[in-house]
Amino acid sequence: MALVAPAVLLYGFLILQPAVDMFRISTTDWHSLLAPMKFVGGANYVRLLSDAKFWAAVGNSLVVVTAGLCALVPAFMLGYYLSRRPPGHLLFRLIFFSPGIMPATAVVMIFLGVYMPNGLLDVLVHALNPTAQQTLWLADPSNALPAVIGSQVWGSIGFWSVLFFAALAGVSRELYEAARIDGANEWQVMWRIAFPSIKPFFGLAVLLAFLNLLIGSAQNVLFLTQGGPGTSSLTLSYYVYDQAFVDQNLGYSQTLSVVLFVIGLAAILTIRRAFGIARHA
Amino acid sequence: MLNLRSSTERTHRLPSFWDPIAFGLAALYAVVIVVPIYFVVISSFKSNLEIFRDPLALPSHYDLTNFITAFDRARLGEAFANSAVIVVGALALSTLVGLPAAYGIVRLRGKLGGLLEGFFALGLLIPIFPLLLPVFLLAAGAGLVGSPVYIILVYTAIRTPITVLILTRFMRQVPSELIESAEIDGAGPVAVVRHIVLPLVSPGLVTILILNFVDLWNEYFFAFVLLRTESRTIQVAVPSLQTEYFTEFGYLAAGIIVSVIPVYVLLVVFQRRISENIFSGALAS
Repeated sequence: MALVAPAVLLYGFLILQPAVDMFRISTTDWHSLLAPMKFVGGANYVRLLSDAKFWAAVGNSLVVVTAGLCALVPAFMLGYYLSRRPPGHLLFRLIFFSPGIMPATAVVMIFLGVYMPNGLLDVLVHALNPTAQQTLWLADPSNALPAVIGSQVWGSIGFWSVLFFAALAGVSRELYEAARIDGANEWQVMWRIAFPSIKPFFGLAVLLAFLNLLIGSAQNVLFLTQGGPGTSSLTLSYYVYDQAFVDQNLGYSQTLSVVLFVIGLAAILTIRRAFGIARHA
Repeated sequence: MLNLRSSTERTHRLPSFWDPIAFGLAALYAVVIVVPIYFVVISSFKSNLEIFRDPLALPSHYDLTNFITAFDRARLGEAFANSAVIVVGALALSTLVGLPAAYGIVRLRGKLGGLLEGFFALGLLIPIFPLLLPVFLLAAGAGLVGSPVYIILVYTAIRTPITVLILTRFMRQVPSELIESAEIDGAGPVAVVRHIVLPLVSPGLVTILILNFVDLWNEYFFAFVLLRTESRTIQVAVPSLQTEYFTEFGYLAAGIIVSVIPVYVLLVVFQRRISENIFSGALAS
């Protein structure tokens, strides 16, 4: 018992206690560290309902998460393709995996160079279509959110493809052969044999990717667009950060935090159930 | 499991009409990954004028001007050292806290062990980012904003559930007869862990150290909020090249490269183990 105590205490004091604080602060009106904290009960939660920025952020987060999760489908197909060991598969794996371990900061900084005026994307567009008008990738409201999504999905397809490849390596080849002898084509083998074999792992990928997309967008939005123009690229996690550390609406920021927290928790539980991931798998 | 593939399994593959198309798509995606990385690498050797004249052209000459300027302006050397101290500190502390906890959980009789394991499993469900402000307020209340020690404690706490769970899993594989016979021979818990348990769980320890290293080296928001300029980490220092000198992409490119070097060194050194490690780590959670 004494052996486990330091871990429990550290976790309790620095994670669980702040989690309780988050709920407590979310019921207050509090504008800076120096200002007094005023208890307002559920008023902040009522305010959510009429906060247009909140709903914009929820909508944008939904788009980011949906787009990012859709990318897991080509990632699985790529992983299946790699598991057939095509020519160059070692090099493919190395290339596909490399952005996955890159710090998110580095990825976002790279995309600053990609999206900046006369940056990489402009040059590529110009090479394909010399008469094209220059596009504002970050400053145009219709491009800002797709730009954020692009920076999040860019490396993740490759990263997950390599992990799916590793999961598929544990699937017996005989299953595939049997299906092929029965006349199944490659497409059917991929979706009817390979996919069900790693379905729990795919569920785990959905879970981890969901959390990464929901929460990770804060950093991409912070450096690329700050949620703008307007609220066109405001995501829920960035809104939490913005209210807490930029606008200093400490109480309200924690109300948003609670929403983010509950969405994260609900998603974890739902996805676990949907893919049949055991608690102590 | 991963070693069971043999080359004979390949021979039965049916040729597919889709093979060239799939190869083309995979190659296209590889280009999409490589081009921005190539762009950053060459930009780190180019002046801004050169970058904008032709972003994809090789640099006209190679020197370290951008790197020297980036180190100077963002104090990257200091930040790199801060990152190293904080990450190594958190890795050491998480091992120091995690190993005994896992050992305790495995050795506890009755329901308590399972209960504690469940406690840490629940910990994996708690998203950490929403706790940014409360964790900052704790530091502010104790006058610990800017303290590397506080962020080492926070990082350790964040990584505690996964560390304990992975180590517990590996420790369950140590036969209890081995431990009991050593105890009968008069070995204390420290000796048992050091001479019997540790050698057997070292693959698990390497796994969790790699996972924790990558995660903590790359961490941004807690470092950004909890540290001050003198104690900031490399992930916080590099973007500062952007806010002040946005148009100087060459400096930023040099900073990006410096910040990714440790994880890529790790990738090269542990090439074979790393994807399997992340894989097993993901499975464990």
